[in-house]
Amino acid sequence: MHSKVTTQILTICVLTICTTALWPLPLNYTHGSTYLWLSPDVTFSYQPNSGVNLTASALYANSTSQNATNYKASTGLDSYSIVQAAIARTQDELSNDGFVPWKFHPRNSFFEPPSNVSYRTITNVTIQQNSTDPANVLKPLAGAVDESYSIVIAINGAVMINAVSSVGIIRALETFSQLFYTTADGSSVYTNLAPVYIEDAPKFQYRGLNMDIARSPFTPDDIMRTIDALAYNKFNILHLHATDAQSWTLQIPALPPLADLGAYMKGLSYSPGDLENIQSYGAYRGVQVIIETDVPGHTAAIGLSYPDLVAALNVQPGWSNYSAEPPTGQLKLNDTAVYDFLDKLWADLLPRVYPFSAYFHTGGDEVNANVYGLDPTVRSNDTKVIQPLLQKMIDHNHAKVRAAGMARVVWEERLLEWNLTLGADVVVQTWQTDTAVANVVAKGHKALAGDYNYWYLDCGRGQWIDFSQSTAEAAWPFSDYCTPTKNWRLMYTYDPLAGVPANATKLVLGGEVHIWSEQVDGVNLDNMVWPRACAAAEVLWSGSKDASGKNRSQITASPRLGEMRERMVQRGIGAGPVQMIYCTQNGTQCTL
Amino acid sequence: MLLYSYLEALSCIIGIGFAIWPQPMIFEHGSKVLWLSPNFETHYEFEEPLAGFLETTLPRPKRRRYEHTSPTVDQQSKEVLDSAVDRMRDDLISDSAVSPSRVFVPWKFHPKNAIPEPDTARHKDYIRNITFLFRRPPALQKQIEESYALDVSEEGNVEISIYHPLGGLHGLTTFRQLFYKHSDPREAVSPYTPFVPIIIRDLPTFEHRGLNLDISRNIITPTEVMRTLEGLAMSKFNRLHLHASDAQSWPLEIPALPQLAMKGSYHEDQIWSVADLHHVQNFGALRGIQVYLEIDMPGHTASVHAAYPDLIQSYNRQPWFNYSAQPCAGQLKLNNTNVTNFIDILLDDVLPRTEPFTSLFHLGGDEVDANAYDMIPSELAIHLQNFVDHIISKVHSHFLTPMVWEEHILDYNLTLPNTTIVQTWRARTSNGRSALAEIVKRGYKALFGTGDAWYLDCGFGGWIDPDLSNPKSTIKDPYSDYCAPLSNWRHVYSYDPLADIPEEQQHLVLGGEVHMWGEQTDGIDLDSKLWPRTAAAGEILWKGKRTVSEDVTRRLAEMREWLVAKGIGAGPVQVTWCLMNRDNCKQ
Repeated sequence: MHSKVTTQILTICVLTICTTALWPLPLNYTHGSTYLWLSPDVTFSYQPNSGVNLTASALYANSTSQNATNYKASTGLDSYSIVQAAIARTQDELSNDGFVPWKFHPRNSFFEPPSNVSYRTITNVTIQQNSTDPANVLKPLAGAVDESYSIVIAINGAVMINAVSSVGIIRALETFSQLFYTTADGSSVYTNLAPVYIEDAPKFQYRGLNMDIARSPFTPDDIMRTIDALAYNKFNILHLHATDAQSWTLQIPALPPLADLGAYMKGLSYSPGDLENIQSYGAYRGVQVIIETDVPGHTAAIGLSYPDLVAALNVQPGWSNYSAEPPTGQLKLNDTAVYDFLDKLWADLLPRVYPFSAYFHTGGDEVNANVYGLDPTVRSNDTKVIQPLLQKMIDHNHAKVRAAGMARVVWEERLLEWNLTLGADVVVQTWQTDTAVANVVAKGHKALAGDYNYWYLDCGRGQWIDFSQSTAEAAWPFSDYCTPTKNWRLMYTYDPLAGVPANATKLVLGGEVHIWSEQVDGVNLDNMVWPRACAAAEVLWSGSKDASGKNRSQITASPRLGEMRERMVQRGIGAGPVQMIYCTQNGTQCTL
Repeated sequence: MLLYSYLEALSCIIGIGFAIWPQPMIFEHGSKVLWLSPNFETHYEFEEPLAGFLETTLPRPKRRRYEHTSPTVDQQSKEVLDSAVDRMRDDLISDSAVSPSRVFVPWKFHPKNAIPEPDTARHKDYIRNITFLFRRPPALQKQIEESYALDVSEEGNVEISIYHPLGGLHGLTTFRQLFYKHSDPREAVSPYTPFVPIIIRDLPTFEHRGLNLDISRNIITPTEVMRTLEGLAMSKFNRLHLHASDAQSWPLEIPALPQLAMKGSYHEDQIWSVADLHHVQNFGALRGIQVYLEIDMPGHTASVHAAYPDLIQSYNRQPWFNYSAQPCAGQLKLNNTNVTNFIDILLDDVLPRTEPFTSLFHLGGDEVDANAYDMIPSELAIHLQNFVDHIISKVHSHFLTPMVWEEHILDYNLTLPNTTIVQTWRARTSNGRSALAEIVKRGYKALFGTGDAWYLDCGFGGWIDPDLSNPKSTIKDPYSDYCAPLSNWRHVYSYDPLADIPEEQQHLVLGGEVHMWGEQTDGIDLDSKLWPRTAAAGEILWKGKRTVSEDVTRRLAEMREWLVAKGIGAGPVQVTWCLMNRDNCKQ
């Protein structure tokens, strides 16, 4: 590994226009200002550590689920092929990004390698993996796989990438690709930053996007495009909120009517093959796709196929007494038929997602007590009556998930509102308050951050509930519950560790940024998520504070994010602009 | 057939709309299904000879005179309508798998598996003929130029009665929205309408229905503007205001001043050439939309400095916030013969080029900063009056109507010719009334478009970077922008522009514009920022004050599907479940 890094060059850059290229910011990053060409025939030499050549069978070896042996594994899903695929993608991006960074240099200035000087050319990138991948390298529990890496680009064009794991190599190649630009004539690729020294590792081990695919239709392509964008930003988790009151998107072969009747339309559900493709696509990019089937709340869509299982199904009028949004309905809480249904569901779904997921999210948000007053198996809205029944259902479900080899993730209400007893290894996802993370870790649980006042991407777009002429006046200007819109700067200041005692920070695995889909579908998905989710990505990868413990400077962040946005647009992600071109062309003019 | 009556339409606003956005004044329909024949034909008929009728109104060469000696369709009108019919045919009919129709299956608007679709096993009745019937106008009233009567008989005869091709364009836009695609792909060659017989009588409430699109602060290409024009035409807008220059860049090619765009644009590949502008204006004209330019003067002109540094005062003066609302500071000098010459050359170049397509030119005038001239406002007002008088006389000499921002009147108390149209944007002036009320009170013609409801750029956060070393920095958590919060579509739709306008002054309100400023918008996210909210404004402009309701939501949600089918990336209006389950998402 290379010697100790300096930060001198980085400091100088703040004073002038300086496109430092990388998002999220590496832990240690120094660079010069020498040009190097990238050969169009650049080769990537990858030698895994001896014995690293992991096979698919090894991946599935620790499955404790019987069905897992019936699972038809994707062939070639091993470390070596993962790295080879990452190299192929990187080569493709380097030659096809076509990113000419004119927006980040003064108007009509020339910033490309001068033609009258000959610069060295990068012809080979040497990649070394320093350790053998663990068996679960593509579906690790947070922290189980070391994502750290280093990159050295010497002034003579020699390039060395080191990483502990193949996922670290994926991260390194992403960083590497962001160091290069295309000339305006499209003929050549270069960097203006040599020599480059990067040592990098994530601040948080769990860096996710929660994407609601139930309330609006999304195609597998929409999800895979989102996985691409997540990988560009070094996220490692895509949490699919796959079912909700409004529709049931997962085809469950053991329960065919569930999606047949529960999806919005025939065809708007994910077959086992679709889901496998999505999860596999994520695995290849170091993005673990985990599934949430939210129970017992948010389950009215089950009522379309199994009406007897759901209490208070679509109460109208007066839905607001029974649910945060229509349609109302929760799984009955004390009904053997519900348990039979859940057992079939788990037996079908869990082994299918297990090969790609270390986690399974069992939901648990916004359980409404009034519903159980209408539930013939409970007949009470008294939380003292409901709580033990909830505990019983959670225990049952969690036993199944644990037996299937996955860790459980739940929404914070299970712990903080219902005071349920959860296994010590259960991860609690917070969202409701700025004290929730601290409260969860105080109870000894691992926590995920993602306060809705900072990291809900759907907020501020207005109500979607309809108002009549008589209710409209009081509802004006039709703000939604979590207005205003969270701009990227606000998201960027969010500190997942705020209020967490130093001795408990290790329980904060990371967090998720959220896109709920009441008013989002595939058409506007990209610009609802990007570039704002990039801000969360940098908080999760690099931390929200700089080396001096202060919030990171937006003066340096905004042009860097602007560059990331341009790169994402070039790669087909419809991310909105970060700033006026005037601002990025003129250094620190747009500052106050 | 039913005779169209202007009075009837005004006095008889009825009907619960299906499908159509903006909602027609009168819409009566049945429930018979007719399919559109893939080979439908278009005919033109005349009630009376048309001599001289079309001379001034179509947004095409204005001073050209048409001589009509026989009752044949004016050739130019026929060309406009023929091309509109061709576009409609292209949208509604699937020629092949390569060119599928841009119609949608309305599954989102019905309970699951319950689209009330026609039984395709039964005999299909077709619409085979569309007739445009040109009627003699009762008087040359602007409001009726755009009116149309659309009748679809049970026998499949379609008659669109109009006074002017503009009415024909709107009639076709409405006609198009009557159709749905069948869910059986084998039946999707041509669409069906389930609403026959149909009687529609329609005309706009406001004569100026516009979008103000900033193409200078970030890059919006001609292609993206044409895509926007398609969306505007679908909601029956008739004006696109291009805010074509600002402090940050000058994207417009001016052949007489070639350095202006070469140096002032963000990038030499991002210049709007003469041909680009011509093409976009023509594209708009064919869709009934006048595309007109704003060249904002004397403020918002720092980008002129790149080519003509001597013309700009206080260029990039710091701290910028003392001299400008945003960086970069700099305004055209006043009382300066070089500036006057520059403006003359500029306007003599650009106005004759845009004049064939529009009657308007916007000379800006917002946010002129007195500090940038080191003057007190009363002193500045005197110089401004001369400056504006000169430009307006130039605009008049090119047979165009001048438009200005409200500040010239309300902040500097200038006296302008009564031909001037004043564009208002502030919701409240110091006396509590809207800027619109203040302007019409002074007898000027005015446009509405309040910043607290119709600015589509608001609420996405500030774009100025906070300087952590500046203790006086006002840029702080939560980094809101000056006009937060975001105006959601219901908020846009609830705007009542005439709320504080006395009835006797309402005739001065020509209409309004919804605004898309470009600090944080470019071609990539333009569609989803404009749509569906711009369509919501479109119905206010077409019909006047409205109230939200579930019916409105459902119709707007249908318009959104039309926009998406046309390739415009409009965001959703409502949760799919709510659209499928009417009456279930109410409060």
